[in-house]
Amino acid sequence: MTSDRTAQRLTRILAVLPWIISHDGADTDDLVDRFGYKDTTELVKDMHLVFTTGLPGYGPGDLIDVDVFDDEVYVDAADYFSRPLRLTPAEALGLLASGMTLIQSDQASPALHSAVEKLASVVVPPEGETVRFEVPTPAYVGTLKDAVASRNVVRIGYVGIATNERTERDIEGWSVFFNLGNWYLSGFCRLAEGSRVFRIDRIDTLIVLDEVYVIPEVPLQTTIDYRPSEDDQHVRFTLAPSARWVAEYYPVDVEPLDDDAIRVTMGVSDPLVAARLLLQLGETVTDIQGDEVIAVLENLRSRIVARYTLTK
Amino acid sequence: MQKVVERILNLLAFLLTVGRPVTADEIRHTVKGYEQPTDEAFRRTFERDKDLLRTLGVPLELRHTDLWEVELGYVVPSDDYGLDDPGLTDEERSALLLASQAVRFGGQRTELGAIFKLGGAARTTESGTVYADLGHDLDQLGALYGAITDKKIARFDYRNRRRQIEPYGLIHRRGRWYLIGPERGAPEPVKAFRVDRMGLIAIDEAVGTFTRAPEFDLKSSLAELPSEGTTDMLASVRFDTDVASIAKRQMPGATEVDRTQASVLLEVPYSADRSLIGWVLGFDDKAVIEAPDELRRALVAFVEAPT
Repeated sequence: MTSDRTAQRLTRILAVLPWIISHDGADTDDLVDRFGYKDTTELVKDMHLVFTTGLPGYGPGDLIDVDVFDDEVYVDAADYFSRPLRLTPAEALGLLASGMTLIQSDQASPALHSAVEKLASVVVPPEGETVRFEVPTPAYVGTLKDAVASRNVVRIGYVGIATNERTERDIEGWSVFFNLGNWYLSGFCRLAEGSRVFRIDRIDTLIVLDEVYVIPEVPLQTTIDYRPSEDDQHVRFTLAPSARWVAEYYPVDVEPLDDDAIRVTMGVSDPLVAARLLLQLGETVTDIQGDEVIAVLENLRSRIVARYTLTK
Repeated sequence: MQKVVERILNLLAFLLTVGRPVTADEIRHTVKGYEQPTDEAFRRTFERDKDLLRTLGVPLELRHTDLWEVELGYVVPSDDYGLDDPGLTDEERSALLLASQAVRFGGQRTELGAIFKLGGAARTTESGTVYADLGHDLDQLGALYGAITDKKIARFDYRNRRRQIEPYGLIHRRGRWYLIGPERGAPEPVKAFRVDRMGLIAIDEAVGTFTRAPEFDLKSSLAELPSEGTTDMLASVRFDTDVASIAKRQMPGATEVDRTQASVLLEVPYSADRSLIGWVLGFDDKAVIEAPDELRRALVAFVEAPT
């Protein structure tokens, strides 16, 4: 059986050998750190295995020569393994994507900038850009990250997504993360007296307080997923072809209709979110089903119209 | 596992030094580790080993063993085997390692193998307070990326049709991945396809089967989103104070022209009535268009229209 672990072990051996060969021997502690070995014993086990392999004939002069001393390893008679393997496309993309994402988010050290530049020069073909990241970065990401690292309480002005209501909240921040196109702050909200996740582009003021909080024992939420819940309101509607992009941007179920229109089913935890979207879509949306959302939509319409009647 | 690792190292050492295509039969009789008793057992072992080599990134190719083109043999071109060393410093390797630990693909971490190939880096215990998830699994993205760099045709199902694409580039925007490139048989110069909507992705074997159009620019290739565009008109919109700073941030071209205790008046550049109305409606009843009057009336008519 070929397992992932076999592949991982081979990948590591095929990287360690070139390193030792090109440096004319290497320090065992450095190898352990550099290549993520548990301890020297694990490294030595790999080296002993290498010692039994080599070229056909498999006699003393054909096998790879490995010398393991107390704190140093030497490899000889293995010039064919003097270069590390090329990166697979997935590996190249994974590294480029990770580096470029942090650079775009203003989270990058100068070393990361130069590393990505050097890497791109060997893995990106000469015709030009092949991969591109558009990561919007709200102004407060850096400050919030620092506050989370130093565990300072932050006071934020926050305009709720569902409500459009602005509140001031003191937050014990646990993490700052990017997911599905948005940056988030998660932490304990003293106003709500519970753990909450805030979209950073909805934070309009930020003060880092001197107070330092004690990190709680409970597991911290460091990610956010849209999880359909039994409490979700469901709304179904038909979208004209010009509004098909909605299906690309929201977690919805889509059923194709004739004439390139689509029938969409959307689950939302707050009916106002769906009502606002439907209102914005105007005449491109028809046949709305879902009593709760329709009621909220009608209420929203009359609130807006009332506002215009008042101001003129 | 020990046996497999030894056999693969022997096989790779042989292929890297032999300097000519070798048949499976020659490998069986030359390389230590292929003492399987039956043809069938050998064939199974060898098939698995070939897959493993390809997983590792070893370029294993089939070529004719002689001018008469009778037999096919395996070869690992040594030029393609080795990494083009980007010459990273230890500091740069550590920075890349930290970055790769901060970024996930559909919840998954990237493997450490890539960092090892570049020379490895000591792991630090970073607090892990920032991380990004780029949404899609890396195997599929990697396959598409390989097609882009090697100029291979990508085929997949998309909206009820099998497509054939010359892949030019990948864009990650707002949590989604898009593949950009011309579709064979379609009139548009390039099209964008959402990677998470693709079914049964297959990449052709043949390398270098197309040339990227010289005028192609990845940056401007993905159609702009609704509400973006050139701007030449100004609207005055009054926002309740609690949403005003969010509005300003969303519309960098806006200027504040008046402020009261309860509200802020912004002058907002716009190009299309429809997109400005949609944006203003995102603030529910906390934003009111004051001018131009036609726009104001258009919003009310839009809101009052039955759906």
